[in-house]
Amino acid sequence: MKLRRSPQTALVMAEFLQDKDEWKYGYQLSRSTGLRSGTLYPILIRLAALGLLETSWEATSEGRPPRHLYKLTQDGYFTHKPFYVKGMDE
Amino acid sequence: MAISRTNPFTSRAWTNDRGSSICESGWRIEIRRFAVRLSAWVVRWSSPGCKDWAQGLSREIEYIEGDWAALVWSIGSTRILLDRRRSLPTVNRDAVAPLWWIFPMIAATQILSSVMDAWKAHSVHDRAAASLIAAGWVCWAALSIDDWFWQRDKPPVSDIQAFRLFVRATLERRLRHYRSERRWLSPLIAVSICAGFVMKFEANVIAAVVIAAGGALVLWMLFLDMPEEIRQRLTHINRLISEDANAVK
Repeated sequence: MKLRRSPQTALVMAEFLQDKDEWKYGYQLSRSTGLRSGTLYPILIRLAALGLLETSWEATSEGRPPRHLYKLTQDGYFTHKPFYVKGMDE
Repeated sequence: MAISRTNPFTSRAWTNDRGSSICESGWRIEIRRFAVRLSAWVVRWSSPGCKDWAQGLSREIEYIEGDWAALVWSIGSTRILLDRRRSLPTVNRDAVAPLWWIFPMIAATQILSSVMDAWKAHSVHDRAAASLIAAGWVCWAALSIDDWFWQRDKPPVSDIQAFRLFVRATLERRLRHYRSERRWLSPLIAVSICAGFVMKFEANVIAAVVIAAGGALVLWMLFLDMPEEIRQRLTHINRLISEDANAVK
């Protein structure tokens, strides 16, 4: 299955490609891309199913439940960077 | 700041010592509460493969500043209920489908009622309709029992390597099924059951059309959707197994 290159997917990928080592929260992605949860999370699920996105749970110290974190995998970053980031030097 | 909880369905509004409306605060509390409850409901009814994602969605609500924004977020999270995925080994929990007993119960009642209908039928037409339905359900039950025997050898999720190898063997078995003559068995079962119901409800054109359309949808899902899903899951599980093997080295 190939990654559907919709405008919404491009927004999400561009957000992740800005910093490949930074873990991001779902609400953080929603605010920066302008996508609602119902649009954003199916994209994230699809990316994870393709092995382009890795997920993790953040351990919080304040007694709050952990949050879900997302980051591109090596495959996701190096394979798809040329398609979503223009003018960025390798 | 003393704020007392108000009934959101009354139109009376008091002000607290800062002058803002207590009724308005009550509404905001109810909105946030509803958003949290809706998200919890989504977590409960999401498929095993999407449970972690649903949890992730619901945890974000705590960090959303606005109550209306939290409500919009939780309403958007219901979209995940449409994504029915089985649990993948990375989630590391048993993929037990809720209400698993429903389909066997439906099959058993359909088989019994169809056999009784065929026994009591007065015409060849009615007997044929009931027999087609009964035959379809009996074949489906036989396939399910065969699958159940295979699943009895499933290792525990705690033994992640063995579990992944078992999942891969299961997926390869299912893909072999689609490449063999047995791939016609499931569509034949669907056609048999649908044809039986169409014959049974022939006086009711709408029911016949709905049943035929439902049967066509099932056939499409069996032939086009499932083999592709199996291939995707095989690719994913092979990648996980090879990552494990590399990690051991």
